[in-house]
Amino acid sequence: MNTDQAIDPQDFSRLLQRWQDGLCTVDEADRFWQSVANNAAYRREFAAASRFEGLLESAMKERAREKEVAGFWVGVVEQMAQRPKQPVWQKPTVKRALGIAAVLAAGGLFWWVANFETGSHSAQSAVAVKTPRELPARAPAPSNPRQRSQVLPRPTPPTLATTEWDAAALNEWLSGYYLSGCEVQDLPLRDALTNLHVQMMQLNFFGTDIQSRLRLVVTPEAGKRRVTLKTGPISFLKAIETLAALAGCQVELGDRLLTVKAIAQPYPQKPLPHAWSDVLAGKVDAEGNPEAGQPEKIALVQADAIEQGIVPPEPSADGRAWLTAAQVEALRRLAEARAQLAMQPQLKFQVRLAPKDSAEQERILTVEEVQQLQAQPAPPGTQTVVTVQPGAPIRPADPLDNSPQWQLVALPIGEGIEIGLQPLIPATSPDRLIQMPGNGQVSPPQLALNTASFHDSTLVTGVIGAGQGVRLATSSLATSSTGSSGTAVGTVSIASGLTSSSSLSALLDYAAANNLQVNILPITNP
Amino acid sequence: MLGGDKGRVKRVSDPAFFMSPAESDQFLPLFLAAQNDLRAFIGAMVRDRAVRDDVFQEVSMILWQSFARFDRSRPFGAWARGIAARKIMEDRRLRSRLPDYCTLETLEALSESFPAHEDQGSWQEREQALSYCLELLPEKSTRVLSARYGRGEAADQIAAAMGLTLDAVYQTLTRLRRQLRECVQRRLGQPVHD
Repeated sequence: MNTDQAIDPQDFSRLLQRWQDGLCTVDEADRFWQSVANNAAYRREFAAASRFEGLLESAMKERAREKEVAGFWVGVVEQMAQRPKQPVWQKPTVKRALGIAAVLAAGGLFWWVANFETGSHSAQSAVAVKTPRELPARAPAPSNPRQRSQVLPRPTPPTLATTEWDAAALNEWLSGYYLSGCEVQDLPLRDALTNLHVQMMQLNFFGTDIQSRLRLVVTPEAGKRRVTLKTGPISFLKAIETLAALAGCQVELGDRLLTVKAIAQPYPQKPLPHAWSDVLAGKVDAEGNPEAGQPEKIALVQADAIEQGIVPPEPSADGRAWLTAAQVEALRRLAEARAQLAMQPQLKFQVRLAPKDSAEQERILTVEEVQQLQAQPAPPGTQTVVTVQPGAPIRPADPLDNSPQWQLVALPIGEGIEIGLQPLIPATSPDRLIQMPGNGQVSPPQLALNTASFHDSTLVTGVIGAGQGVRLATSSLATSSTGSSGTAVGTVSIASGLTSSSSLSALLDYAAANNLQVNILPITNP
Repeated sequence: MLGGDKGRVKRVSDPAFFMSPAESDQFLPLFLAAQNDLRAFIGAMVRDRAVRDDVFQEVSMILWQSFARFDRSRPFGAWARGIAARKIMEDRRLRSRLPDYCTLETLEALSESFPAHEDQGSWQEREQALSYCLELLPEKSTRVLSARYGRGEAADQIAAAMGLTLDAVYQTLTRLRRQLRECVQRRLGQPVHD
């Protein structure tokens, strides 16, 4: 490199300041970068100055955010202005949380990252949540598809460049993304939300650019409250609302901004006696009937409270529920989540094992290919039809066998539906025969396929459009069918309508060993 | 590949790898620890705050998508900054704003001047120290910093709002950065360099 224009440290420092302020002339910028290129000490100085500037920006954004959040509360602003100013360094938790949130929010990255008091440990705990393997039974969906569509329209993400995301639009959009589950065990709210975001990012990997624009901010007071929650499939927004409610917080939506704030009231709250029906007060079902008067709905609320550890399984002596306001609110959210899920239409798919084409790879099938495949009679014993309600596992036809080895789960993810094949039993469990339900009738408008095997951490996923299907090639499986993947294979038999598989991998292994491939097709026939 | 390729994940519709739950468990702590330096590294080249945020965001997504290819024996931050350097150099718009001396090799060398191992705790210590130092500043100085770094206002905006000359704003910023940096170093017990 050219070293003709070597500069002394003072000159470098001056140029560095000018570079940072955007004041460098072309000549100065050349000299500055030439020095950076040629001098390791200057590079260290430049790196240190850049790191400090990042720190400074973070701190000042944090302060700006703190003011912004504080300004939200009616009547609180004046009170804050009048109170004695406390040294900021006495509130490291608050400051760090706000700082990181502000930095990330300013970056536009849809990523809430909170205050990591214990460094990486906190981060690890935040993502230590597992996707639940067992899904709770859900109330049946309304039989009238028109009614369903009215209740839960498919969200269509508008173009961000031209559309302002008001609260209603954001609510609708976020309600259209489902997580396969939410399992949080005694985590600060900020960490719990971080975990939700990780799941959300995976779901929305295919999706629109809102992922890169939406901001999620948690106020410091809210972020440090600890929460515990375990649910099955739940919309992203409802999961956040439930967690927030448990922490005595509320969720606010604005243009590309989701803010979780502590409600201005004492916390932790004191449990007060409630009737279980209080949780459903004011809620009506799809038919317009008050839910508080429906014993089955009340029983589900009670079951939620027990499952969440809010109340013990044994009923209280007075028959009432001792709940905090936060718990009541959280149970309301869970009831809403259940109702949301029940509104989702049933979906039907056909899983076919077909003779393998040469050099076939796993891929998306075109609409035409799906139509051709559906027109062809499947070879005897090589197909099964699965019907799935979103969030509900496949139930075997044999009532004696209530433990299917794998399940097909459908979850809305924005514009499409994610279809997941999930094993239900440990890899070491013996194989069992299951029979899938009969023919289906509904064709989902759009599908995404996500076949997951938890035991060998294999996930194949992709998006398919209306009428499309997916072909899973199996050529690579034959060599891995003896346990290298950690999956029990055993004897897999495919008979008419009967599938035996200890996991999806076993099914695929079987297909590979028999020179078959797996097609998953949407069912369109009436 | 399907079934047998343990721990690897891929999309049917896209040859790019997609992160498995196990990988995302690994990714997040690494990313969180490295993000501050990554942002600072990008900020060293990209002075426009909005553009810098966009670049940071895009690099974050690239890191997310490429994590399967990350060599776990290497520091994550160095890998992340390397990707950021390439991203900047490959972007014609960004590249056009940088002098010719700012090459990929220079950026890689600059990246090596950042700490090799990311430490969230260290950042928090510095943050606390800075918070303390900020409290020592006169209110007017804090207002300048808030406007410049908190709200991202341009120097001329600050000058107009505060009744200062443009030159005075720049001088104030330069002085405040130096003062605060030295204060933080003292607070952390580090040697102060002139």
